[in-house]
Amino acid sequence: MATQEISDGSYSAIRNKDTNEVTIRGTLRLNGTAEYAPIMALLEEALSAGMVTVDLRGLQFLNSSGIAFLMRFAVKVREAKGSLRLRGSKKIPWHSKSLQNLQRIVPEIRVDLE
Amino acid sequence: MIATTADKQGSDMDPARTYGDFTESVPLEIEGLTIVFSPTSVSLKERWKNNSLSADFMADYFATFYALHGSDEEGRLEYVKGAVSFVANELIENAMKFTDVEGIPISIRLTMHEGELVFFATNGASLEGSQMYESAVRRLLNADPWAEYERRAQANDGTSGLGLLSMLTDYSARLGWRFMPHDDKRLLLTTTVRIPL
Repeated sequence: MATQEISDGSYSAIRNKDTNEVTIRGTLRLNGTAEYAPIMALLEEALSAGMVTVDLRGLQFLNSSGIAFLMRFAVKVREAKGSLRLRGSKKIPWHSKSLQNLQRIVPEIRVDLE
Repeated sequence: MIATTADKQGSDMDPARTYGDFTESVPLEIEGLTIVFSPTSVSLKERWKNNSLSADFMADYFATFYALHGSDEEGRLEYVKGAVSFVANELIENAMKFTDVEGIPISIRLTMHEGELVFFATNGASLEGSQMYESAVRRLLNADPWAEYERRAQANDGTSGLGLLSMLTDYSARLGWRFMPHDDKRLLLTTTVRIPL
């Protein structure tokens, strides 16, 4: 399985190149757009390869800079006329709120809460 | 009873400017937790991870009481823990980002009340630094939250501005601010957040 990974101990972002699925886990509270840039680059690479799924079911916490980062990626997907599916967990309360907010702003994306 | 103040411009008698639904004070005998940071030589980058640790500590600390006295509805405890952790982390991050003067500690206090949580966050800022924050507060008060969300999604200016907005849209928060002159170069900023339980 070919993968790309970014991690720092509190979070990991792993792209499975075979399925083009990016799994983000842990606690993601980086400082502003600049610190989110490496993960954005990983997602953009996935976008250029085709349909993207981002699995957030193991992401316990995300700060507002992280919500903004996901929103910017969703806007990029819309601009590129691409396809994005976000997978969240019903057991993590912020997932239903933030992911549905995201869908309200960018209705083209698909959000599945499992 | 917790006293609140609506928008108020500063005057010679009382130079403090308040915005939103500002919470004046909470009696000290109310159950609560205060964390104080005194940033000196440690860089923001090195301190950043501690924001998250402190926010999670507040959430775990409060969850102990909520588990005993709060609602036992399924998933409610997880919701409350998530809300405390998110709000505390955003308030600490904002205080760390906007503090550009020395000598005024950053503090965050969370108090627990019947049916709601009240957060107080304070930090110091230069006159120049606080102007940017004060105009962001004014814009937030006059904006439609969803239009503002959309605007922030398109922006790419290095800041998100979504922390306070998310408190409004996701946690039905009541927000308030006070800008109090500290001396001729510094201000004391207080942000208050009330979250219904």
